[in-house]
Amino acid sequence: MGQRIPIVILGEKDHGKSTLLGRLLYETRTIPQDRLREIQKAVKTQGGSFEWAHLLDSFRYERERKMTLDTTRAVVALGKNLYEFIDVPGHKKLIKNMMTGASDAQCGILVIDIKKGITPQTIKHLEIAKFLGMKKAIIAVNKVDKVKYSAAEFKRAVNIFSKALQKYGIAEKTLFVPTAALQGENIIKKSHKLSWFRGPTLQRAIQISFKRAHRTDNELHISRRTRNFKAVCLFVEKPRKNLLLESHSQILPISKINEIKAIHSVETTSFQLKKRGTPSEKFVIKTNGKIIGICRRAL
Amino acid sequence: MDELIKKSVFILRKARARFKKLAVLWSGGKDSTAMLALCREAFFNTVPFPVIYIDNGIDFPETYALRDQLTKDWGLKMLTAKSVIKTDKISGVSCCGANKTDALKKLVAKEGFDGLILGIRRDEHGIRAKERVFSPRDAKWRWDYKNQPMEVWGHVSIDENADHHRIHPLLHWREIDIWQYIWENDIPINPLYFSRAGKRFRSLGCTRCTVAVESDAKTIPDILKELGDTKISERMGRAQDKEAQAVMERLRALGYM
Repeated sequence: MGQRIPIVILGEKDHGKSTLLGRLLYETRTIPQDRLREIQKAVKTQGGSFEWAHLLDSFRYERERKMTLDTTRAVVALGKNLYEFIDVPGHKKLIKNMMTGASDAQCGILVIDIKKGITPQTIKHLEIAKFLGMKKAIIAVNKVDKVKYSAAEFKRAVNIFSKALQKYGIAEKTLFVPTAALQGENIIKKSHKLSWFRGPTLQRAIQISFKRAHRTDNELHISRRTRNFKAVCLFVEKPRKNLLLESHSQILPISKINEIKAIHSVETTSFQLKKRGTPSEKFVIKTNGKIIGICRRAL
Repeated sequence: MDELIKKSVFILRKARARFKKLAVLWSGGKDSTAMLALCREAFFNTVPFPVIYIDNGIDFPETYALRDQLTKDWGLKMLTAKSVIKTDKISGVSCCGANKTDALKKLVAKEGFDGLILGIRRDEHGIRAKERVFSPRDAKWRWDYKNQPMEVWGHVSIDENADHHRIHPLLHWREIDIWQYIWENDIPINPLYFSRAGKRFRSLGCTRCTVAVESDAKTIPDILKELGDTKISERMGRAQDKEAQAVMERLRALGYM
């Protein structure tokens, strides 16, 4: 199995984030048939009509108000990779829930309604996601059915959007993909309604743009397979890339800040004393004279 | 697979550091058994906290046998919460809600646990997909799903007003990942998952509300292959997920697992 790559779906409320993801889950057959029927039945008993967003919006509260309250995730296999799609709420007041979802993703799909265009909330989402660690993005220019799948309208929108987004760090080569999430156009299959469009479907764009998971080096892990050291403390939380001698780190599960007293390399048999341990190597750390285990590499 | 394990081990170790009195729930199923194995990975071949098993008296004999085997082989401190079936009606809220949750409540109050580790996964159910890794429950065991805490970069904020926290180290696993893990690590598993007379269980509850699905899968590789092709969901055989879908939401709001 390939890599597992988290992708957050960003954008203003009602621009179609949940619908886009719901449709993607349906077209890739990620949602089993019986669960789809179960959801359709449930929506009916709750007195509404079925929408693609209901595959993600599972609280009654969300369905009644036609909005996403809290973040959800679904894993989809596309090609050789697994993509973990993260849906987030678009409402201004729900930024805390949006951040919870966005903080795990280094890739993002920014959804923009072609008619409503970029709003302050679109920019806010983009900036927060970037701050939290997003490195790459795709822009889904959604609801192209509202402009009758017009090539000229799409071109015009891309022109405006790319100019406006440039100062927020959206690179020139970023892919802009026309989509009609509600109708499922250009999500997985090429759309004949968009036959003028030479670019990729959303699925292809994801596969082209997001090829690997960008790891953050927040944590140093101690080898879980190590048995020769009876370790009490097992994990160093959020220090830095390199573990430095005499630095202070929080070590789990003891949860005390400990001073690193010694770092020994274990690449050689002689346990060489070192000034720092880098994420790529194996080493033993000591605090207050106590050996606490072998570190392997950063997550 | 390594990434999945690492993430779970991190959550478990973090939980161990942050909570005073932890317990892990074991149901007899594949997820909670895999969870015990992950605990053993995180804490050097031990499970350093009690394992809670809710016994309603009508679980499968295979489940009881596995409980005894694991208790012995892995040296578990097994706590049994006896639940009483009060109704003949097979229904999510009155049965699972009243029986299992009440029994658990009593035990947790008696022992004073402040953290409960549960093996729920996002891909099981839409409501479970909305959960946080560390999720507070109030004095009445309610889940305030309209106002969940923020979890950024895996950092945890503990809610001091909470009665206890639910800890969900398996949220990011899928059904097929669990089977892969069980297969690679040779973890003992409930034999009910394997096909007998053309049927097997895909999800396990008590004898009353769990239904077997048609399958010829007799081994774990068979199951892995079957899951690759299937178009039917895992919890299809579970009554509490049916009826109006809000059953699960109401159950969870009341403190169900």
